[in-house]
Amino acid sequence: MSHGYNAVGWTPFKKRFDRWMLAGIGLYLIVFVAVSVVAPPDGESFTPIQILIRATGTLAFLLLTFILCIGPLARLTDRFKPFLFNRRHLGVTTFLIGLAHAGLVLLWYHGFSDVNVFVSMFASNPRYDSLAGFPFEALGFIALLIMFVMAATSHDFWNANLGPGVWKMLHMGVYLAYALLVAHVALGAIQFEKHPAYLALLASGVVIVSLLHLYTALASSRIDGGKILNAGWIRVGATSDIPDGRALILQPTDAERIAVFRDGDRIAAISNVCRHQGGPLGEGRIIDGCVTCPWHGFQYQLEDGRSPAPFTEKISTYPTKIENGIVFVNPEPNAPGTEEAPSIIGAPA
Amino acid sequence: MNIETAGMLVTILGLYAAIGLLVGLIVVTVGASRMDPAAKGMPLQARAIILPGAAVLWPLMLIKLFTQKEPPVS
Repeated sequence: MSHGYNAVGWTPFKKRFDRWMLAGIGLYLIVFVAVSVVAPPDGESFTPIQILIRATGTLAFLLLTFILCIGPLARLTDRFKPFLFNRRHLGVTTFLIGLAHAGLVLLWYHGFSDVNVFVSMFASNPRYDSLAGFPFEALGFIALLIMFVMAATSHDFWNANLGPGVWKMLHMGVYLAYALLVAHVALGAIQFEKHPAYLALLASGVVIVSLLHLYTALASSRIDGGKILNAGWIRVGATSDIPDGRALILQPTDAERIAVFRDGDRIAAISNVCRHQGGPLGEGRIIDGCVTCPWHGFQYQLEDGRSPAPFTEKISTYPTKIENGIVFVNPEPNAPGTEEAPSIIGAPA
Repeated sequence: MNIETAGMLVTILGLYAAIGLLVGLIVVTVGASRMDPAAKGMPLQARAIILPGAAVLWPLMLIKLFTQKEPPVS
């Protein structure tokens, strides 16, 4: 959280995660190269650099596809939350693999040109008016530039100094990068690849990413808006409807989502939006007495919406009450960091 | 794209990157802590990690360096 900056906020889990990630990447590259050498497609033979170009290209595409699936999957099952916590490392690694792919392409296909390699890349195929012959390398280059901007601004320093809104908008560029990458791979495969595996890989990735996003968007739109009662109170549900250490999320009309948490016999409501990167706090849980964001572990005290000292983040709190075992929340937010005593289950109303 | 246009595009990108590197170095050495008090005493590795971002966003960095009066609201 925002108390000084380190290069990387290492934890034992993150180190383990990175080791597994690098091992997986190494294994993929080894298997890809081995299969390409032992069983090349009929009638084709590739140089080692061409094999590496394909290996790094497919790996970058697969990793980016997986990264885009992490958010929706983590909403469906907690098993993907660890990936959500470490998505930043995956993203930077994906950019580096894309960079290696681009470097190999420039070296192999443009490195022997009389002109600058970048000039050669943009000018060697002038068929910008043809779909079938479109210079797909340019699309990959733009996608890589977008991924570079995201990787370069992934540190918490940038989140704090650009502001969560601008930072988030910048990083939504991943969808544009993915669209460009899809076009890059599709046109490349159509123009140069005879093996159907590339188009199958591409189609599967696009379909999975699209369906997962569609499904979670529909599920999210079904979040209960609550029934507004007298004096603006919204009925949340029975106390037993809120699992201990977890929250129910409400979507008031024209207002920010509210996460209503239960911690033992205490019920309290806070904003559903994490100050760090806008993560859904209501999908997190209470750890060490604090609401913990499922995205990067930012924490907030339930009673005042403040991060525990020495951190300084603050979010809005909301008044709650319990009547006949039913929890109500007032959708009018208190100023961020305002103390609001939790309602106590079983206490006289 | 003809070779002249491509050459001009690459020159513009190269200039942008060169200016970005210069501004980025200023940001990571003295500018970061001026913009954000939490960056005071930031370790060298962290400064190296924010250098590419400062380079790519150099127009914004210049604006912040010369106009920002308050630290970021965290």
